[in-house]
This record gives sequence, C-alpha cells and structure tokens, in this order.
Amino acid sequence: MSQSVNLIPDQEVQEQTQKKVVKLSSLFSILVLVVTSGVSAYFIYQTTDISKQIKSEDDKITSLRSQIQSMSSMEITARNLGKKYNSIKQLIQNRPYYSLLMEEFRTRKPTEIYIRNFTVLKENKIAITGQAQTYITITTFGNNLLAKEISNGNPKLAGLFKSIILNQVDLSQAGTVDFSMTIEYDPTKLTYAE
Amino acid sequence: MPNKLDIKIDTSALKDTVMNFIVPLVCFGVSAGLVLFIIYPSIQKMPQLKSDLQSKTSLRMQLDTKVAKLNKLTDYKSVLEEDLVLLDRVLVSEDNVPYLLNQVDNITRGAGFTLSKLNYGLGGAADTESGDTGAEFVAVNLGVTGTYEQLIHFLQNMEKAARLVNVSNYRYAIAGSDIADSTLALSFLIYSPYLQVNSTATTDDPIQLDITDPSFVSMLNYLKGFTFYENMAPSETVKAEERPIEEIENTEEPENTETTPTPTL
Repeated sequence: MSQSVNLIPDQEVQEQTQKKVVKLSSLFSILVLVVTSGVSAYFIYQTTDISKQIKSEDDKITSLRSQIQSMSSMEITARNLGKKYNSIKQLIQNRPYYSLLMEEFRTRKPTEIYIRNFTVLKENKIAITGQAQTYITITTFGNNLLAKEISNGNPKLAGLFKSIILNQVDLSQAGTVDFSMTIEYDPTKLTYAE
Repeated sequence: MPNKLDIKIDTSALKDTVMNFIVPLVCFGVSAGLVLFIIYPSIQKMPQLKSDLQSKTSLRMQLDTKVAKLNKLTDYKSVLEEDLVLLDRVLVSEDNVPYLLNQVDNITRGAGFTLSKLNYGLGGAADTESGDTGAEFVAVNLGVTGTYEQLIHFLQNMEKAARLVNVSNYRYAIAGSDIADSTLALSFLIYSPYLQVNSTATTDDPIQLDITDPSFVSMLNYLKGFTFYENMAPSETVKAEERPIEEIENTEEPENTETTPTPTL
C-alpha cells in the first residue's frame, strides 16, 4: 500500500502558516481602515455641511433683523393697534346688549301685567315684582317668557328666557295678584354678532 | 562561579513578529484614531447641530414672515394710523373722568332722562368686566327718572357710544304710588374701561395683527358707527362726586323663596 509522505519540514510548515496569518490580518486591517475612513469622511462632510447651513441661516437672520430694525416705528404702531383691538374686541364680545333684553321683555309681557320693580342681577338673572289682574295672567306671562318664539318677537332672541322661579304670589285686598319672580336668561343671545 | 543570573530574552523573534504584522498594526491604529477623534465626536455632536439648524431655520422663516408683514403694513401706514386713532377714541388711554361724566350726561339727556344722581369711582379692574384685557375701569353710579321707552333708548345709545361704556347692572321701580304710572326711578352701575399701551419694538416676536382679516375689518366698521362724545359740551356743569361705588342689588327680597314648577296653562 502507498502512503503520502510529508517531506516538508515542520519549520517550513510553520513559516507558511505564519505567512497566511500575516496576509489575512493585513487584508482584514486594510478593509477595516477603508471602512472607517469612509465613515469618517461621511461624518466630516455631514458636520461641515450642517455647519455651513447654520452659518448661512445666521447671515440671513442678521440681515432680516436689520430690515426689521429699520421698520421699528411701524412695528410699534402695529403692536399698539393689535393690543387695543384685542381688548376692544373682548370687551364688546363679552358685554350683554340689555336694550335687546328690554325690548324682548316688553314684547312678551302682557299689558295686564304691571312691573313694580325690575332688577338685573348677577349670574344672568332678573328679579321682578309686579301686579296682575288674575293668576291666569301671571301664567300667561310665564308661558310667553319661556316660549321659543312669539309674535312680534325678535327671532334672534328665541329661547332668551331660560327659566322662571315664581317666588311669591299674594292676592291683595283689591282683588289683584301681587307676585315676585326670578327669571334666568341666556346671555349668549345678547352678545355682539359680526 | 557565576554571581548573577543571566537572563536572555530573544528580542529578535519579537522584532520579527512586529515587522511581519506592521501593516495590520498601522491600519488598526489609524482606524482606532479615526473612530476616537472623528467618528465618535461627530456622533455626539450631530443631534445638537441638527437641532441648532432646525431652530435657526424656523427663526429665519418667522423673521421672513414678519418682514413681509411689516412691508405690507407699511403700504397701509396711513390706514393703520387712522385705525389707531379710532381705537384710542373708543378705548381711551387714561381715565379722563370729566369727559366720561360729560358723555354719560349727554347720553342721559339724549334719552330724555332726568338726572338725579351721578357718582364715580376709580381704581382697579372690575373682576367680571375686564377678563384678561388688562384694562382699568372708571365706575359710575347713575340715578335718573324716565320711562320704559327712554330706558331702551338710553341702553341703545350706551351700546353705541365712544368711549366704551358698559352697563353692568341696573334697576328700576315705579316712581310713584300708582303701579300704572309710567314714570320710573332708575339706577345704573356703569363701567368705562381705559387702557394705556406702550409697546416696544422687538426683532424676533411675530406680529399677529392682520388688517385684511374680515373680522378686523368688520369690527372697525362697527366701531366707526359709534357716536363719539368727546367734543360734545354739557348743558351745564356736570356735578359729580367720587364716592364708593354702590352695587345694584334687589331691594325687594321675596318673603318666601320657593322653587315652584314653571306655570303652564
């Protein structure tokens, strides 16, 4: 039988192995160097580019501020106008137009009802005392106030009066009926509309 | 006999190894340097740079918009100044109590009322009136006699008056003993705001005002329809005193306050 005989000395084998290791490690290290160089170049480019853009924006901002500074008097006028306008708008939009309330109240009040006292209270309420000929008249008055719409009434004020609390009803010696009531109204119906 | 140990280090093998691996050593060394001095610092710095760029870009765009707006407003400079004068007449800068009392007097007489009481008070903003406008207020207590029709005219005139006057509360009662009497005794609590504006120019804050906005135009046209009382003379010297302001309260308290069902037919 034939057998292969390794005639290469051990030392030679060792040297060949060493050469292979050197070659592979060199190739690998060069590859790593190329990759890190590429990544470094990418980052250098990115940071340089962003820094350039920042510098460009800084220059533009400086120029714009200079232009704004030259128009400072116009800016002051515009700001003062804006502040006054916003305040007036808020004051007007929040205030109730009581003239509308009084007109609608007069429209809905039967002629047989006489108002002795009328007070506009806080929290969107009205306190009234008055006199009527009969209990039915007071009922009619209450129904008129709470009716959504009424003839000769302002259609924009439909639903103005939200609720009524009849505090007191007294039959006087003269046969008339004295009453007091608290009426709640919807303030949003009485505000400014564009 | 030897007196010391002889240590022999074979440096030639070490030297040979280093020389054999010189390329990998240099390459790895340079790579480590690149990572340590370029890549890692760049990764650290990049988010901050991007954030800086973003904030500067948005500031630049904001200033661009502001410059465009100011250029547009410059074209309307005379209109702006007229509008400011108008708004200053509607919402005055100082309390100007004599002019206010003169105005209230004119509106009162214009409605046909007979003046019976006129007091005023200064200081602070009425909580329910000012909101966040920053305005101060002059409060006026007004007492008059008149009719229901005159009351409506008075309220309408107050609602269209400049400077601004707001009727906060009011009350009326039959003046005489006959409930059918049409003469009423009326009391009003009136607030008139005033606001001093002293803006300063800043370079970065945006300008919110848009004079072409339909609601702005609509409000200005509405205000131009007001009646301006600043130059109207009183019929006589208006007599008023500064006193603590009286709230309008319900003087006729019901004896039994019960919540009853809403009356129906």
